[in-house]
Amino acid sequence: MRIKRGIVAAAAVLAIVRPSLAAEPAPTSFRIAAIIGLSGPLAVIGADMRRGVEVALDERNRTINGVPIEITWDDSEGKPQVTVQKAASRIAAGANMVFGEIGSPATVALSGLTEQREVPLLVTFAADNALTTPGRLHWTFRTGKNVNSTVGVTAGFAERNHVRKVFGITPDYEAARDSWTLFKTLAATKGIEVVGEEFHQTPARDFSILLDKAMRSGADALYTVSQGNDAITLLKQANEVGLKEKMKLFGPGMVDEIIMRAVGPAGVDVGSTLRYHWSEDFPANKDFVARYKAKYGELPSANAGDAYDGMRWWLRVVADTHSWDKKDWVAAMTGSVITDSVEGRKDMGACDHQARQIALAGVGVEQTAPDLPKYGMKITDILQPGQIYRPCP
Amino acid sequence: MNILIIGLSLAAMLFLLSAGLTLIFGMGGIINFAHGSFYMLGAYGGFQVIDSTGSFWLALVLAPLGGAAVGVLVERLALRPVYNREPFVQMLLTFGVILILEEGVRAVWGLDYKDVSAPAVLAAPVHVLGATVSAFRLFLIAFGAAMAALLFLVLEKTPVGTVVRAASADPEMVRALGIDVGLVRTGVFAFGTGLAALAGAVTAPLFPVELGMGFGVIIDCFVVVVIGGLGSIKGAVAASLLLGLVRAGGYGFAPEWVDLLSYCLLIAVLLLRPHGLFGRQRRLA
Amino acid sequence: MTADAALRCQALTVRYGRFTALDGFSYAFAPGRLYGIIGPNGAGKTTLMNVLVGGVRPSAGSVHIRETDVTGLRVPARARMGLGRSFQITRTFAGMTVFENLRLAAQASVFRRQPLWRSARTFPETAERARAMLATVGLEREADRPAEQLSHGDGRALELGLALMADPAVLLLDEPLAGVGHGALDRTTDLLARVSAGRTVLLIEHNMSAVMRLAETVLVMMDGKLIAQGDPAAMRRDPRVREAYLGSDA
Ligand SMILES: Nc1ncnc2c1ncn2[C@@H]1O[C@H](COP(=O)(O)OP(=O)(O)OP(=O)(O)O)[C@@H](O)[C@H]1O
Ligand SMILES: [Mg+2]
Repeated sequence: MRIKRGIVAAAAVLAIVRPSLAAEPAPTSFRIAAIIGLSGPLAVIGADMRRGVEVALDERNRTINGVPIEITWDDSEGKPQVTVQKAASRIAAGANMVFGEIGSPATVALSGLTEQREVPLLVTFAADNALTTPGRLHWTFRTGKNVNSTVGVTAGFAERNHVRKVFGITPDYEAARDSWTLFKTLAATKGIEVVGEEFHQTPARDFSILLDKAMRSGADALYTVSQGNDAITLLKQANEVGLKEKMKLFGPGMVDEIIMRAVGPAGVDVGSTLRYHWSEDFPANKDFVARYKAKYGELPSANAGDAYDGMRWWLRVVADTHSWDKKDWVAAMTGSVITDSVEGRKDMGACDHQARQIALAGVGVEQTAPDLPKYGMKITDILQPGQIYRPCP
Repeated sequence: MNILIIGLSLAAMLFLLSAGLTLIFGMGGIINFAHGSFYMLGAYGGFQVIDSTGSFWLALVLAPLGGAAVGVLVERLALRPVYNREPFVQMLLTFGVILILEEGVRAVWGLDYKDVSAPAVLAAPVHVLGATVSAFRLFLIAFGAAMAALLFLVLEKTPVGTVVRAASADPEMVRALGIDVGLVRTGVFAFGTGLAALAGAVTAPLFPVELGMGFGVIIDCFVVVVIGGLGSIKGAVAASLLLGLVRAGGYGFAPEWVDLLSYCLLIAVLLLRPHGLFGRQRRLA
Repeated sequence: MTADAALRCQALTVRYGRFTALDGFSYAFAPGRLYGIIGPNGAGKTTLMNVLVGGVRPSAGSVHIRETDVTGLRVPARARMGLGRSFQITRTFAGMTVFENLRLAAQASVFRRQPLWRSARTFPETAERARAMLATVGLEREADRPAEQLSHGDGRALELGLALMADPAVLLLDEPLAGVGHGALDRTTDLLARVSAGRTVLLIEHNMSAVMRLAETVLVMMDGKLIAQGDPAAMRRDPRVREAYLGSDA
């Protein structure tokens, strides 16, 4: 009995003392485990994120504090289970950090694993609020935009476009319903009336009946939370009945460069939030766009820019610690500020690990410049962080 | 009114999609899981034709021909050696075909979505009895009905159709009459995959054109084929109409339950008629 | 004799694993004769027939049609060379009417000369031939009934009609009388006699009185081998045949 107590005490002492006993020795490489969708419907997004991250690594000559950066790319197939499985084996093999996933369910599952294994997780895409609930996750950071910010932007968009009555179409899952509820709350404060709402399964096969209801509802705008394939189906079928001529069409993340390429004219004038846009007027962005174009021969998409910016920020913070202890990195990232990101200043919230940053609203446009694809996005409004985010207490 | 038109348009799409699958099954007893991939191939092929020539109508001609040509290769190289093997061998092979076609499409066209728009004449909505409906949907309804009528006439009234029906009833007997069943099988398989490609090309203006598009539709196809009765074109017509109208009604009243409704319909039909609406008990030999 | 055989087989052997179903069977079938093939269950009669029509590959040996080696040819090709058959278990096309069944067979023989696409023009011809065959096999009144609803005897008659449509020089019939009811037996036997005229016929049959009446030569098989052959009366008396087989009927 006494011996047992002694061991417990010794262990406790060791545990407390250990961090200050000796700095972690320098590893032979800094290992990043990237787990994103590289096949299936997410592949379009994943491929661009990968390109953005590669540019961020190139920029550092693929080394950090004299140690080579080694990155592995695993295909999550967009599935939470696969994501967690592959991440777990990468962590077991000594990954220093994890980057990913894309969809919210997989990313939330992934954060559960990285919290438990005490490995930092960098999130750029998934917007679910559960990833940045204050005080909940210690090892997880989101440099990308969150649901609240995107919904705030769309509410502002509605106001500026003089929307009076809105009809909502929302996929039937929790995060999407929450997003729609949030929009309704914001809309009410701006005097916008919600005249109808419909929820659909995802993937949705046909929107024509729902669109018909929207057009008969007397609404002057259609707000939709549908994403990706659903958004494309909705836009194509809205075009079919000339919906855009009758009402404004907008939603958070409704269109981006990828979707504009899929729907062409059907996406013109559709309002959306943007994660990032190559035209953003910051010196670091000009630099990034030039590097990206030199490497891949085209302009970076929103997903590429978003991923680049997050990885660049994170690697800089790690390098500045001159430490190989993950805890030091997390401490440094918490409350860190980057003043020269591709979107200007970004502040990592100390309470929620959500980056405060500008937000963009834009519309789909037809582009005529010779080096641009035929259809793309144009920024219409830039909102300052203070208009969207509450500061940490 | 709108629910009816939209329901009919859904039915037309379902029919175009599932007709090829049911024909192929009727012929060699092959369950072609790669049917959705041929649908995808048709959509990409259609995109390519429109991109190069600007003609949607030409795409409706060339995409199915391409689908049929690939179908000939698949039947000759992959399926012919395994007609007499256990069904799971054939299933595995058609799964393999999915992977190959998907990789092929990815290699040729990349990961990006492709934009296919309706031809200009059908782009604007029209007004029917006070309702605003899509001209393209009306075209789809007419197109689907015409294809159904054509298929029905060919199968029921022409010598080619008689041979196809006979070869699906009893291939050995047809051989004994001196007809090359292998040729008939290749022909029917190619025709079925051509139909799938046609469905892909003609519905491309309404749906995302992307690598995963085949997976979503294959389930719909199976629901139609099972409700209608495996191998029956009449059944495919009836089941498409039933499912299309039920879906449209579902979207009208409870859009979050549409899939569940479809499966309930499937189960109800199977409980009442285990072989589907027009299915026959098949001789297994 | 051998030189102008309608159908000749040489040392045909079929093995299923270690079991030999047909064991070095050789015979030359002369044109225009009706051969009865008898033997106990499992003697290899159906196997012989399957090898002759091309449905089963022999392990060894060869098949010649009018002295052309057809061992490598498959069923449709041999059928086009004038080989017609009926099956031990009646096979007609379910889901089609009697008339459609026959019209299909008529088309099949037309397809041999014409591409599929031009066949619409041959409609009147094929319909006419189908109607003529209805009369030949005595199924005029059943023309519009689905094939699967026919009585057994009528089903046999239809199957025979299908085989005859191509006017085959050699007709192989596998137990055409099996399961035919007493009432229809004489009628079907008469039919067989009528349609056999002018053809080489191989008639596998357990019904001995029919064999005795129809056959000009009887072959007796056992354990995959030809054990005796001769005219029906002689075979009936042959002690080997009695021993092997005759206990069951006659
Ligand atoms: N595919 C096969 N695999 C294994 N054995 C077989 C096969 N086909 C036939 N046999 C065997 O070969 C033998 C000969 O069969 P076959 O059908 O030729 O006999 P048969 O003379 O026609 O008999 P019956 O008078 O009963 O019709 C039988 O013992 C049968 O079990
Ligand atoms: Mg037999």
